[in-house]
Amino acid sequence: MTQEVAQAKAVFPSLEWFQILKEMVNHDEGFRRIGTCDTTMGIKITDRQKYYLVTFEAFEVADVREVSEEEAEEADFWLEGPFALWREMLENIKAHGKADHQHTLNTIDLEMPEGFARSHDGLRRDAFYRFNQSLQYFFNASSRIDTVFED
Amino acid sequence: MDKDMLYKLTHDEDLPPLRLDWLRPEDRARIEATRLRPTRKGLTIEQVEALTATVDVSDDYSARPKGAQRHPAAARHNWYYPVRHETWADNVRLLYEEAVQRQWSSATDIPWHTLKPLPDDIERAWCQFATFLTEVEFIAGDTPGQWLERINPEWYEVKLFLLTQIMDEARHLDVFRKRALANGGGLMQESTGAGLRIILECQDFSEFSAIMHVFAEALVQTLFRSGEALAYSEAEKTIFRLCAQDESRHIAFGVMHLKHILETQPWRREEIHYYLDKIEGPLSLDIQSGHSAASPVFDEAIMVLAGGGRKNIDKGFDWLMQLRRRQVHEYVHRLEVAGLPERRYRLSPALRAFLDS
Amino acid sequence: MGEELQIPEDLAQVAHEKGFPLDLVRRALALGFPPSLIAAQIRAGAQPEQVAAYLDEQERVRAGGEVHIPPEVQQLARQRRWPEELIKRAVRAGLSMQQVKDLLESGLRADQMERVVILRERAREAGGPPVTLEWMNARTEWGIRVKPGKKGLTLGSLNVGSYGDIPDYWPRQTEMPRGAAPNPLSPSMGYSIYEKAELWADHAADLYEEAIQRQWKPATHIPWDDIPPLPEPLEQALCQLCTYMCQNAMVISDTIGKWLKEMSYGYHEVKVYMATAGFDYARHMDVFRKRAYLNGVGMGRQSPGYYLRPIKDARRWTEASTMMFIFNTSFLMHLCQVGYYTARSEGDALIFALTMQDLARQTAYGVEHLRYFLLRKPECRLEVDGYLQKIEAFFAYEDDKDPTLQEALVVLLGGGLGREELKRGWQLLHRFRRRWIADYLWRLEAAGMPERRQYLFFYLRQWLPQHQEVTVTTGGTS
Repeated sequence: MTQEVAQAKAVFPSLEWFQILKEMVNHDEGFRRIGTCDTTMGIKITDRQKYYLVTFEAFEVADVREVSEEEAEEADFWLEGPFALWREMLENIKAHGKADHQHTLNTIDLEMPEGFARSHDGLRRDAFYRFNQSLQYFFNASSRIDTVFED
Repeated sequence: MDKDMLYKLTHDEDLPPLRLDWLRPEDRARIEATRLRPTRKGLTIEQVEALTATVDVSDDYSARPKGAQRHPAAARHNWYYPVRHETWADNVRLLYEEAVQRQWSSATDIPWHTLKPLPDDIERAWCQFATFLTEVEFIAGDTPGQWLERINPEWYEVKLFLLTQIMDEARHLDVFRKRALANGGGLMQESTGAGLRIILECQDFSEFSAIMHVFAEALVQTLFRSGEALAYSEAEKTIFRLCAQDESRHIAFGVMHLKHILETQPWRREEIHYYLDKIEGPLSLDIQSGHSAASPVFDEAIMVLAGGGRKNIDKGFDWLMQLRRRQVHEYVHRLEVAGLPERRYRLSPALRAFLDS
Repeated sequence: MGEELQIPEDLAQVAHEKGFPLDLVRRALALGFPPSLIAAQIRAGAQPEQVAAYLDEQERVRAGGEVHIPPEVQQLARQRRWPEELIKRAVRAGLSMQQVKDLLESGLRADQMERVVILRERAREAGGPPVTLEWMNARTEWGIRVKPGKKGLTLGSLNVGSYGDIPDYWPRQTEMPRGAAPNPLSPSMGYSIYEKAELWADHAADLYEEAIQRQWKPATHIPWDDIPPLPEPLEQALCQLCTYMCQNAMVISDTIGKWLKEMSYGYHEVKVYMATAGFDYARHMDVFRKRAYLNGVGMGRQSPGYYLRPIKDARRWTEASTMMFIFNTSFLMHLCQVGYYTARSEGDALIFALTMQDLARQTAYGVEHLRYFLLRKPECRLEVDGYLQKIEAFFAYEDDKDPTLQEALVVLLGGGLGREELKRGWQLLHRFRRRWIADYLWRLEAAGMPERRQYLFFYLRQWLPQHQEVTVTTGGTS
């Protein structure tokens, strides 16, 4: 899948970073071509106490918000990990243009004993698999962001 | 539970003895000896099967995939057709791949915004037309479904094709229901359905294919291809074009299967004539209380649409007669291609009337 | 002589284009043939001489002239037991003697010919096509105008007004679409599922649209050129896994096909969703077979199929669905996770990721349906528990009897056949199986069966997150 080249700079984690990602993906025909995606995905960067909610609807990312931990856990599923894990994944995406096999959402999820994708509901958690291609495309788009990681 | 067994089960660092007898030395030599490469059409089943042997008879009633090594204690799963000819068509692999490539979405590939308000009689006619089609299309989905488990895994390509047909028919059920409810109308009258029962009642695969693919779907496909006169918007034209494309694949399978049967089992010729008599001939006139197989409501809806309204129903009737003529001619031509040219002289009178002498 | 008959303009146009004499057209009109029929005959290439002879005969007969039946026709009529009066009526109704002869030769019985003649007589009386147009007054809800939304015009969005009334019991045995006006002539189609609780899932329509949107194409979506062979014996182990996936897909798609015709039309959302599920399995059969043959190895050993038999043998859709879409799909997801985890190329990873995508939709249906079923039929809880017990037991039986698949997974996960590699593979397999069982039980919990955790079949308990002591209970189905 091809992704148009566009550069932007933002700090991770921040709402601004997710908003830039949202705009990029919503203007990317490749994302649309994967098919409809209807799910809510929480993001938890645990050691930074940073939580976000990404809402996918139809062919686009409908909304991104910074939320509380409880709100993030109200999503269909959330991706939870320490800052170092997120950083490693995003740096890998940046270096390769997309996640290599060891850094895809799936692999990270399979490597973690508790899973990367978690949920309070066994049915809703399956959205992680149902829309995995779209979710991976979403994060892969971050290769076009000049991400700044603040230690 | 035995303590030793429990210990073995719970102490997972202990490796149980492994048989590894599924690893075949001869496989080692094959790795990279033959490597498949995708062509312009990608990697197709045809390429895979060029590496395998196709058998004509199979006495294996387990669920063994074609080419897999037999398990000596495999359970039987079904009473499959044991002879390839009974379900085969030479174009089935091609048709499956084409079906996968040419899927479409009624939600997003039809330009629904081009629908425009129509006069009441025409909208009613369209809704009746759509009601009939949303009703009957999934008989063409239910019926292949009931044959799936009779298709021998040795000739799995036929299963794959039937699964694409079921998918196609689901889309047709869906798209016509959408049309009926998208332009200020609603669903209308159910049809008599008797002709469709004949399809469900089939007791043999060739019977089902001859009746459904070669006769019924062929008539519908000709209608769709002629649909310009019935379409009042780009949305309707697109519906016809995409549905006709799908139906064409089903017909192609049916014609080639019939051809295959007549070539490999020539003693079944009269049997096939009986099946066609049943769906098109004197039998169908009896069973259906004298009504046309397609149902009078469908014909009348077409007349109103083609005539541009109730007041021009004569013109619509004219168009319907022309359509019938085209349908019958194309049907007879397909039967000629399939190797049944004499059907021309054995058509039911209702159809023969439309053949040019 | 009366006034000359006016020929309708468009009919005259047709006659002019075809060079057909207008006086013959007038004569045909005078005999009562509808303009459209005359036009159709002219377009079909009717020859003026033949038409003139036919009209001569019709005019003579309708003026009271006797119908002469040629000897060969009389003989045929005697063979087919047609009364002579029937032939005469046919000719008076407008058929030519040649047409009558053709019908005799085609084998029409006398009673069938009687109907043909009646229809002809009626058409002549009506002066045009015999139409009633009664359907235009069908008593259904009218004025529906559903508009496309963000996802286009979706199936679920059609459920408005009375079209959205999805009854708990569907009363029609025919293929009447929900919301249409029934036809009392319509015969039964032989469905067996008329109760919503027996197959419903609230989001079946959404799953259907999602399935269509997210379809992928095995031939072209996978970068086949970029999948080099794995080091042996990993390639063989992967092909063994592919063989299992093929076989499983085939049996499940057969089962779906078998049940489709049992589902009545009132719940078309579920039928069309099942069509997509069947198509998913077709693509799985396709892609895994291609992968197995890609690098030269081909199919491995078939599985004995013991575990899949209970699925085929199901006697209730909920039984089949629970076994297929909760237990079996959870197991297949586990296999795909192993496949994905051990993939060494983007292509292999993509195969398993896309398959998991499809399987996850099926678990969504399976869980939602079971939840719906148990809410409405709580008395069937133990029955469902029994089905789960059965499928778990058969799984255990096959897993124990035939270690082929397990061993293939061990080799894949371990990375080879060395002692340490196999040990590592075995440990990893247990880790993946623990995950599988956890996900499976979690799905059952979402479906409203959290208690299955307590009664999980003994063999599978070794993979519970915290291994539970063996207990013998008097309740449940252990």
